[in-house]
Amino acid sequence: MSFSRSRILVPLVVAFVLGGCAARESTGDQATGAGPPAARNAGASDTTGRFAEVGKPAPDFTLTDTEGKTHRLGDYTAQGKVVVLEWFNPDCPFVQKQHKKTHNMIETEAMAAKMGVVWLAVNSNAPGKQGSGLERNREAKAEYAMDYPLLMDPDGAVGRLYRAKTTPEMYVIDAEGNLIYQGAIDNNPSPFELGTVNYVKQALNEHAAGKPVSEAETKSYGCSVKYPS
Amino acid sequence: MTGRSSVDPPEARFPRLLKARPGFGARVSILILVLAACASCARKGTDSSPAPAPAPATSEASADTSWGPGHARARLIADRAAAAPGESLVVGVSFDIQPGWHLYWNGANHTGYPIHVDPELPAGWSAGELLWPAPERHVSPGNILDHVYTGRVTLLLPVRAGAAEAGPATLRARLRWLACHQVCLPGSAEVALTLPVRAEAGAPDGGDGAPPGPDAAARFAEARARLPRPLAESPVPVSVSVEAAAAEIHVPGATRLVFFPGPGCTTLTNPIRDAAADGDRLRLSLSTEPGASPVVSGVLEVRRPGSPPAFYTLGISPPAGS
Repeated sequence: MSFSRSRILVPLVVAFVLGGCAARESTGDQATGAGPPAARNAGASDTTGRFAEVGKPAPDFTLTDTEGKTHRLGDYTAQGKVVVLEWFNPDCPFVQKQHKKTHNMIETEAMAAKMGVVWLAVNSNAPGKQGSGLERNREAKAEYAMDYPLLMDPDGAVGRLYRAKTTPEMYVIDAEGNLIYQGAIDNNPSPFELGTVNYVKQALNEHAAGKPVSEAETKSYGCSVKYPS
Repeated sequence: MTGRSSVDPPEARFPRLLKARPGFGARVSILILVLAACASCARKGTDSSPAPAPAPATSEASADTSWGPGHARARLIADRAAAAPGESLVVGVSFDIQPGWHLYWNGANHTGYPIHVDPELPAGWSAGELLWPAPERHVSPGNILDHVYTGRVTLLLPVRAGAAEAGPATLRARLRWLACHQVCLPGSAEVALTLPVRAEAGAPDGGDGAPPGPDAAARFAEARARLPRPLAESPVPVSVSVEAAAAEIHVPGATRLVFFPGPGCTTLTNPIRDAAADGDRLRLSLSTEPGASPVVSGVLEVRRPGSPPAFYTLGISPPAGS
């Protein structure tokens, strides 16, 4: 393109991208008591009640994304946002079913974004394990055209807090900070074809209509989250 | 930028190399490096009785090229060299699994994808339900429990030959699986077996009309030794009590018990802690849905001194009205 056109277009594009990013930036006041205090070293026991459980306040946490920006769940709740969490491993075939063989995950995110829902991917794989590391995740985020934050949880503390076992594993948190869905993205637990029911779409649509989520807990499926040995 | 890994082991580079589709030799070399680096991790946490010894390590087993992208080789075998019209026989779906990798049982796993078998039989033939040898437990960090196969496994498919007197019959199956090591990769194969149809049966057929041999016989024997039998066949009475919050299994004289929850079993609250124990008793904490009846179904492994491990099918609910 001509030099003069690019002088207009490039700043426009930059402004558009930055504007888009700012719309999703975590701003605003500190959360006031949206759930229990963030835990950084969640233990292995399931009995403390501090772990994510459908019907209860979702545990707060703070993580840094692949671009160096910090996100705190409680800040989004304070803004009255519904939040979706997507556990992610770029090299897992079940994740690739959603991000590479199809674009089902980002299409679901696009629908959610139109509803004002915040979507955060989380990678809890330990350093050295499959799909871990900043370089690989930045690359995958670009390759899969993920236009939402990808939070890095290399010590697995947030994964354990949410008892995430698989990638993908999905969570929906309402605007009051309560966990209203946990489980699979869809109803076909295979790495090959998509299911016929998208549980996250279903949960978001039911919730937006003021209805309780009909299938609030489903069995997640995928590769195991690669916690530290 | 904090969080950048300072270690860049082969497996971190592996996925990008896969993506770039380098030559097969390069992929094989990387795979060997990955397996060499991680060989000790594969069996960590396995605490049920081991499956029969993996296929003997030959030069074929250590060179990775023969395993393919699904990290397992599959074939169909038959328990006889020929079928008689209308006869019931057993077809084996036999997998050799690359050392260090595992495939998944069809019970309650936290992750993975069970072996899927989609048979295609000649007209007039019919198949029963696939029979699964007992798996092994595989525990991963993060309280993740799966039930898997390593080495080799043969799933058994009872079939009934068509009534018509005909020539050779070709049985096919479309197979899908997930093979995992440090990474997980999907596998698929289409396998076939041609069996003559004639009046008399013979020794196990190696497949595709190959002369029957000891290999097929050994695979069937290994599979049968790990097929769960009805609980009533236990030489000692097994008592199982089931309530909404917990179940107890007691096998007098047992030195170790392992329970593998099947696909219809009520979710166990903490199967890693509860479903395997030394001694003669298991206490399983159950997460029964409110209003639902708890069901304890799956496979029970019983070890007794001086006997090989025995496997039984469990399918217990509390009596109606309790």
